[in-house]
Amino acid sequence: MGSPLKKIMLCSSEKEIFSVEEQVMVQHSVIINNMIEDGSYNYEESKIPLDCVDSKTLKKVIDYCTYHTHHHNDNQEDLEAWDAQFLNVDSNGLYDLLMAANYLEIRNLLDLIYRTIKNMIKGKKIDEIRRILNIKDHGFTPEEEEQNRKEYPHFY
Amino acid sequence: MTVVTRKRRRGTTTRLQDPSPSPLAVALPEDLMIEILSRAPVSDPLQLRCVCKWWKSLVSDPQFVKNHLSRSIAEINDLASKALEDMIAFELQLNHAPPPPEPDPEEEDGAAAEEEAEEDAAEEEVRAMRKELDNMLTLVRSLKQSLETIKVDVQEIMSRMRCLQSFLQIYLKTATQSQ
Repeated sequence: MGSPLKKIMLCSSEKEIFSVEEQVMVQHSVIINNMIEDGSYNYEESKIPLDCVDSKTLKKVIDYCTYHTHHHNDNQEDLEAWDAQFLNVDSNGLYDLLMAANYLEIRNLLDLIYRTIKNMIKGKKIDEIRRILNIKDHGFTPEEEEQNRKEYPHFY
Repeated sequence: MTVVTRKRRRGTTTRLQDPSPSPLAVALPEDLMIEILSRAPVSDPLQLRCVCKWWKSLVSDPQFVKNHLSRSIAEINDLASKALEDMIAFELQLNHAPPPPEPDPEEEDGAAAEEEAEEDAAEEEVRAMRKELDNMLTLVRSLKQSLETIKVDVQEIMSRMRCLQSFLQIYLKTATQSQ
Protein backbone atom coordinates (compact mmCIF):
# COMPACT_ATOMS: atom_id res chain seq x y z
CA MET A 1 0.00 0.00 0.00
CA GLY A 2 1.42 3.39 -0.97
CA SER A 3 1.22 6.66 0.90
CA PRO A 4 -2.13 8.40 0.58
CA LEU A 5 -0.68 11.35 -1.30
CA LYS A 6 0.90 9.41 -4.11
CA LYS A 7 -0.78 9.78 -7.46
CA ILE A 8 -1.14 7.29 -10.26
CA MET A 9 -1.99 7.91 -13.90
CA LEU A 10 -4.84 6.19 -15.70
CA CYS A 11 -5.21 6.44 -19.44
CA SER A 12 -8.64 6.14 -21.07
CA SER A 13 -9.40 4.64 -24.49
CA GLU A 14 -9.23 8.18 -25.92
CA LYS A 15 -5.72 8.49 -24.45
CA GLU A 16 -6.90 11.06 -21.93
CA ILE A 17 -4.78 10.96 -18.78
CA PHE A 18 -6.39 11.00 -15.34
CA SER A 19 -4.27 11.51 -12.26
CA VAL A 20 -5.81 9.88 -9.19
CA GLU A 21 -4.79 9.41 -5.58
CA GLU A 22 -3.20 6.03 -5.49
CA GLN A 23 -5.03 5.05 -2.33
CA VAL A 24 -8.41 5.67 -3.95
CA MET A 25 -7.79 3.18 -6.73
CA VAL A 26 -5.84 0.69 -4.65
CA GLN A 27 -8.68 0.42 -2.18
CA HIS A 28 -11.28 -0.25 -4.83
CA SER A 29 -9.71 -1.88 -7.85
CA VAL A 30 -8.29 -5.35 -7.44
CA ILE A 31 -6.18 -5.15 -10.58
CA ILE A 32 -4.68 -1.75 -9.75
CA ASN A 33 -3.97 -2.95 -6.24
CA ASN A 34 -2.15 -5.96 -7.69
CA MET A 35 -0.20 -3.78 -10.09
CA ILE A 36 1.01 -1.51 -7.30
CA GLU A 37 1.77 -4.39 -4.96
CA ASP A 38 3.84 -6.37 -7.43
CA GLY A 39 5.82 -3.26 -8.27
CA SER A 40 4.95 -3.23 -11.95
CA TYR A 41 3.80 0.39 -11.69
CA ASN A 42 6.52 3.01 -12.14
CA TYR A 43 5.52 6.29 -10.47
CA GLU A 44 7.78 8.34 -12.72
CA GLU A 45 6.52 7.20 -16.06
CA SER A 46 3.78 4.56 -15.92
CA LYS A 47 0.31 5.28 -17.18
CA ILE A 48 -2.14 2.45 -16.72
CA PRO A 49 -3.76 1.94 -20.12
CA LEU A 50 -7.48 1.24 -19.92
CA ASP A 51 -8.18 0.69 -23.58
CA CYS A 52 -11.71 -0.53 -23.10
CA VAL A 53 -12.81 2.33 -20.81
CA ASP A 54 -13.75 5.65 -22.38
CA SER A 55 -13.05 8.99 -20.66
CA LYS A 56 -16.64 9.65 -19.66
CA THR A 57 -16.91 6.25 -17.98
CA LEU A 58 -13.46 6.43 -16.42
CA LYS A 59 -14.29 9.81 -14.90
CA LYS A 60 -17.45 8.31 -13.37
CA VAL A 61 -15.52 5.32 -12.04
CA ILE A 62 -12.92 7.61 -10.47
CA ASP A 63 -15.69 9.75 -8.96
CA TYR A 64 -17.20 6.64 -7.43
CA CYS A 65 -13.94 5.38 -5.95
CA THR A 66 -12.97 8.84 -4.67
CA TYR A 67 -16.32 9.43 -3.02
CA HIS A 68 -16.41 6.01 -1.41
CA THR A 69 -12.83 6.36 -0.15
CA HIS A 70 -13.49 9.71 1.51
CA HIS A 71 -17.04 9.05 2.70
CA HIS A 72 -16.90 5.45 3.84
CA ASN A 73 -17.82 6.59 7.35
CA ASP A 74 -21.00 8.34 6.23
CA ASN A 75 -24.24 6.77 7.28
CA GLN A 76 -25.66 4.08 5.03
CA GLU A 77 -28.64 6.16 3.95
CA ASP A 78 -26.50 9.04 2.65
CA LEU A 79 -24.23 6.64 0.79
CA GLU A 80 -27.20 4.89 -0.78
CA ALA A 81 -28.67 8.21 -1.85
CA TRP A 82 -25.35 9.19 -3.40
CA ASP A 83 -25.09 5.82 -5.18
CA ALA A 84 -28.61 6.13 -6.55
CA GLN A 85 -27.81 9.59 -7.90
CA PHE A 86 -24.53 8.29 -9.28
CA LEU A 87 -26.23 5.49 -11.22
CA ASN A 88 -28.93 7.72 -12.60
CA VAL A 89 -27.70 7.07 -16.15
CA ASP A 90 -29.26 5.49 -19.23
CA SER A 91 -28.81 1.80 -19.91
CA ASN A 92 -25.87 2.42 -22.24
CA GLY A 93 -24.11 4.34 -19.49
CA LEU A 94 -24.91 1.55 -17.07
CA TYR A 95 -23.48 -0.98 -19.51
CA ASP A 96 -20.26 1.04 -19.90
CA LEU A 97 -19.90 1.33 -16.12
CA LEU A 98 -20.52 -2.35 -15.64
CA MET A 99 -17.88 -3.29 -18.19
CA ALA A 100 -15.40 -0.86 -16.62
CA ALA A 101 -16.08 -2.05 -13.07
CA ASN A 102 -15.70 -5.62 -14.26
CA TYR A 103 -12.43 -4.84 -16.05
CA LEU A 104 -10.97 -2.99 -13.07
CA GLU A 105 -12.49 -5.49 -10.65
CA ILE A 106 -14.22 -2.93 -8.45
CA ARG A 107 -16.34 -5.29 -6.38
CA ASN A 108 -18.63 -2.85 -4.60
CA LEU A 109 -19.38 -0.94 -7.79
CA LEU A 110 -20.10 -4.21 -9.59
CA ASP A 111 -22.49 -5.25 -6.85
CA LEU A 112 -24.19 -1.88 -6.95
CA ILE A 113 -24.71 -2.14 -10.71
CA TYR A 114 -25.95 -5.73 -10.49
CA ARG A 115 -28.48 -4.65 -7.90
CA THR A 116 -29.57 -1.69 -10.00
CA ILE A 117 -30.15 -3.81 -13.09
CA LYS A 118 -31.91 -6.43 -11.03
CA ASN A 119 -34.25 -3.74 -9.72
CA MET A 120 -34.92 -2.57 -13.27
CA ILE A 121 -36.47 -5.93 -14.12
CA LYS A 122 -37.69 -7.03 -10.70
CA GLY A 123 -41.39 -7.76 -10.55
CA LYS A 124 -41.87 -6.71 -14.15
CA LYS A 125 -43.88 -8.60 -16.73
CA ILE A 126 -42.02 -9.97 -19.74
CA ASP A 127 -43.44 -7.38 -22.12
CA GLU A 128 -42.20 -4.65 -19.76
CA ILE A 129 -38.73 -6.18 -19.42
CA ARG A 130 -38.50 -6.36 -23.20
CA ARG A 131 -39.53 -2.73 -23.46
CA ILE A 132 -37.12 -1.55 -20.74
CA LEU A 133 -34.18 -3.35 -22.34
CA ASN A 134 -35.46 -2.71 -25.86
CA ILE A 135 -35.41 -6.38 -26.80
CA LYS A 136 -37.12 -6.49 -30.17
CA ASP A 137 -35.76 -9.80 -31.36
CA HIS A 138 -36.32 -12.30 -28.57
CA GLY A 139 -35.14 -15.15 -30.79
CA PHE A 140 -38.15 -17.38 -30.22
CA THR A 141 -40.09 -18.72 -33.18
CA PRO A 142 -43.70 -17.50 -33.30
CA GLU A 143 -44.76 -21.01 -32.25
CA GLU A 144 -42.43 -21.03 -29.22
CA GLU A 145 -43.57 -17.55 -28.21
CA GLU A 146 -47.21 -18.61 -28.59
CA GLN A 147 -46.54 -21.74 -26.53
CA ASN A 148 -44.86 -19.72 -23.74
CA ARG A 149 -47.68 -17.20 -23.65
CA LYS A 150 -50.18 -20.01 -23.41
CA GLU A 151 -48.27 -21.86 -20.73
CA TYR A 152 -47.42 -18.84 -18.56
CA PRO A 153 -50.02 -16.16 -19.28
CA HIS A 154 -49.28 -14.48 -15.92
CA PHE A 155 -45.70 -13.74 -16.98
CA TYR A 156 -46.74 -11.44 -19.82
CA MET B 1 -9.03 13.87 -8.57
CA THR B 2 -7.25 15.99 -11.16
CA VAL B 3 -7.87 15.68 -14.84
CA VAL B 4 -4.52 16.34 -16.42
CA THR B 5 -5.61 16.85 -19.98
CA ARG B 6 -8.98 18.28 -20.68
CA LYS B 7 -9.84 17.36 -24.19
CA ARG B 8 -13.39 16.34 -23.58
CA ARG B 9 -15.13 15.24 -26.69
CA ARG B 10 -18.55 16.56 -26.10
CA GLY B 11 -21.22 15.31 -28.43
CA THR B 12 -19.60 12.03 -29.25
CA THR B 13 -20.40 10.50 -25.91
CA THR B 14 -23.96 11.69 -25.54
CA ARG B 15 -26.32 9.20 -27.03
CA LEU B 16 -29.72 10.05 -28.37
CA GLN B 17 -32.72 7.84 -27.78
CA ASP B 18 -31.34 4.65 -29.21
CA PRO B 19 -33.70 2.40 -31.10
CA SER B 20 -31.30 -0.55 -30.91
CA PRO B 21 -31.60 -3.02 -28.05
CA SER B 22 -29.92 -2.09 -24.80
CA PRO B 23 -26.43 -3.60 -24.62
CA LEU B 24 -27.48 -4.74 -21.17
CA ALA B 25 -29.82 -7.20 -22.82
CA VAL B 26 -27.73 -8.42 -25.71
CA ALA B 27 -24.06 -7.52 -25.39
CA LEU B 28 -23.00 -8.42 -21.88
CA PRO B 29 -20.50 -11.21 -21.39
CA GLU B 30 -22.29 -14.35 -20.27
CA ASP B 31 -20.76 -14.51 -16.81
CA LEU B 32 -21.88 -10.95 -16.00
CA MET B 33 -25.38 -11.59 -17.29
CA ILE B 34 -25.57 -14.72 -15.17
CA GLU B 35 -24.55 -12.68 -12.13
CA ILE B 36 -27.38 -10.26 -12.81
CA LEU B 37 -30.00 -12.86 -13.60
CA SER B 38 -29.18 -15.04 -10.63
CA ARG B 39 -29.83 -12.07 -8.34
CA ALA B 40 -33.40 -11.90 -9.60
CA PRO B 41 -36.04 -12.94 -7.09
CA VAL B 42 -36.40 -16.65 -6.63
CA SER B 43 -39.79 -16.80 -8.32
CA ASP B 44 -38.46 -15.33 -11.51
CA PRO B 45 -36.22 -17.81 -13.34
CA LEU B 46 -39.11 -19.44 -15.19
CA GLN B 47 -40.16 -16.01 -16.32
CA LEU B 48 -36.61 -15.01 -17.27
CA ARG B 49 -36.53 -18.01 -19.59
CA CYS B 50 -39.34 -16.52 -21.63
CA VAL B 51 -37.81 -13.06 -22.11
CA CYS B 52 -35.46 -14.08 -24.91
CA LYS B 53 -33.67 -17.10 -26.18
CA TRP B 54 -30.31 -15.99 -24.84
CA TRP B 55 -31.64 -15.63 -21.31
CA LYS B 56 -33.34 -18.99 -21.67
CA SER B 57 -29.99 -20.64 -22.28
CA LEU B 58 -28.37 -18.67 -19.43
CA VAL B 59 -31.00 -19.86 -16.97
CA SER B 60 -29.96 -23.45 -17.73
CA ASP B 61 -26.27 -22.65 -17.35
CA PRO B 62 -24.66 -24.63 -14.50
CA GLN B 63 -23.29 -21.40 -12.98
CA PHE B 64 -26.76 -19.85 -12.93
CA VAL B 65 -28.26 -23.01 -11.45
CA LYS B 66 -25.56 -23.06 -8.77
CA ASN B 67 -26.06 -19.40 -7.86
CA HIS B 68 -29.79 -19.72 -7.95
CA LEU B 69 -29.97 -22.84 -5.81
CA SER B 70 -27.66 -21.49 -3.13
CA ARG B 71 -29.55 -18.20 -3.00
CA SER B 72 -32.93 -19.94 -2.88
CA ILE B 73 -31.85 -22.26 -0.14
CA ALA B 74 -30.37 -19.40 1.89
CA GLU B 75 -33.62 -17.48 1.52
CA ILE B 76 -35.74 -20.45 2.52
CA ASN B 77 -33.49 -20.98 5.54
CA ASP B 78 -33.91 -17.35 6.57
CA LEU B 79 -37.66 -17.63 6.21
CA ALA B 80 -37.69 -20.82 8.27
CA SER B 81 -35.68 -19.13 11.04
CA LYS B 82 -38.14 -16.26 11.01
CA ALA B 83 -41.06 -18.67 11.24
CA LEU B 84 -39.38 -20.37 14.18
CA GLU B 85 -38.82 -17.04 15.93
CA ASP B 86 -42.45 -16.11 15.40
CA MET B 87 -43.54 -19.44 16.86
CA ILE B 88 -41.35 -18.93 19.90
CA ALA B 89 -42.86 -15.48 20.34
CA PHE B 90 -46.29 -17.07 20.15
CA GLU B 91 -45.37 -19.62 22.80
CA LEU B 92 -44.01 -16.89 25.09
CA GLN B 93 -47.23 -14.96 24.73
CA LEU B 94 -49.18 -18.06 25.74
CA ASN B 95 -46.93 -18.74 28.74
CA HIS B 96 -47.13 -15.17 29.94
CA ALA B 97 -50.87 -14.98 29.61
CA PRO B 98 -52.39 -13.55 32.82
CA PRO B 99 -53.31 -16.33 35.24
CA PRO B 100 -56.95 -17.30 35.46
CA PRO B 101 -58.89 -15.38 38.15
CA GLU B 102 -58.17 -16.26 41.78
CA PRO B 103 -60.37 -19.14 42.98
CA ASP B 104 -62.77 -16.77 44.65
CA PRO B 105 -61.31 -13.48 45.83
CA GLU B 106 -64.74 -12.23 46.78
CA GLU B 107 -65.09 -14.74 49.61
CA GLU B 108 -63.13 -12.88 52.31
CA ASP B 109 -64.35 -9.52 51.17
CA GLY B 110 -67.81 -10.82 50.84
CA ALA B 111 -67.73 -12.36 54.32
CA ALA B 112 -66.46 -9.15 55.91
CA ALA B 113 -68.74 -6.80 54.14
CA GLU B 114 -71.58 -9.17 53.67
CA GLU B 115 -74.37 -7.03 54.91
CA GLU B 116 -73.49 -3.44 54.19
CA ALA B 117 -71.93 -3.98 50.77
CA GLU B 118 -73.59 -6.92 49.16
CA GLU B 119 -74.65 -4.88 46.18
CA ASP B 120 -71.27 -3.18 45.95
CA ALA B 121 -69.58 -6.56 45.98
CA ALA B 122 -71.80 -7.83 43.24
CA GLU B 123 -71.03 -4.78 41.16
CA GLU B 124 -67.35 -5.13 41.94
CA GLU B 125 -67.47 -8.73 40.85
CA VAL B 126 -69.10 -7.82 37.55
CA ARG B 127 -66.48 -5.11 36.97
CA ALA B 128 -63.68 -7.52 37.74
CA MET B 129 -65.12 -10.15 35.46
CA ARG B 130 -65.55 -7.62 32.71
CA LYS B 131 -61.96 -6.54 33.09
CA GLU B 132 -60.89 -10.15 33.07
CA LEU B 133 -62.83 -10.75 29.88
CA ASP B 134 -61.35 -7.63 28.29
CA ASN B 135 -57.86 -8.85 29.08
CA MET B 136 -58.61 -12.24 27.68
CA LEU B 137 -60.05 -10.70 24.56
CA THR B 138 -56.93 -8.60 24.07
CA LEU B 139 -54.78 -11.66 24.54
CA VAL B 140 -56.82 -13.72 22.11
CA ARG B 141 -56.61 -10.94 19.57
CA SER B 142 -52.87 -10.66 19.87
CA LEU B 143 -52.47 -14.44 19.72
CA LYS B 144 -54.61 -14.45 16.63
CA GLN B 145 -52.36 -11.82 15.10
CA SER B 146 -49.25 -13.84 15.92
CA LEU B 147 -50.81 -16.90 14.34
CA GLU B 148 -51.56 -14.81 11.28
CA THR B 149 -47.86 -13.86 11.09
CA ILE B 150 -46.82 -17.49 11.36
CA LYS B 151 -49.31 -18.40 8.65
CA VAL B 152 -47.77 -15.77 6.35
CA ASP B 153 -44.28 -17.15 7.12
CA VAL B 154 -45.34 -20.66 6.25
CA GLN B 155 -47.13 -19.59 3.09
CA GLU B 156 -44.02 -17.70 2.01
CA ILE B 157 -41.88 -20.78 2.58
CA MET B 158 -44.33 -22.92 0.64
CA SER B 159 -44.40 -20.52 -2.27
CA ARG B 160 -40.58 -20.45 -2.41
CA MET B 161 -40.51 -24.23 -2.32
CA ARG B 162 -43.04 -24.38 -5.16
CA CYS B 163 -40.91 -21.99 -7.23
CA LEU B 164 -37.83 -24.02 -6.53
CA GLN B 165 -39.65 -27.21 -7.44
CA SER B 166 -40.90 -25.91 -10.78
CA PHE B 167 -37.49 -24.47 -11.56
CA LEU B 168 -35.87 -27.83 -10.88
CA GLN B 169 -38.46 -29.67 -12.96
CA ILE B 170 -37.89 -27.39 -15.93
CA TYR B 171 -34.13 -27.53 -15.47
CA LEU B 172 -34.09 -31.33 -15.35
CA LYS B 173 -36.32 -31.45 -18.40
CA THR B 174 -33.98 -29.16 -20.37
CA ALA B 175 -30.95 -31.04 -19.08
CA THR B 176 -32.27 -34.41 -20.26
CA GLN B 177 -33.40 -32.93 -23.58
CA SER B 178 -29.99 -31.48 -24.31
CA GLN B 179 -28.21 -34.74 -23.54
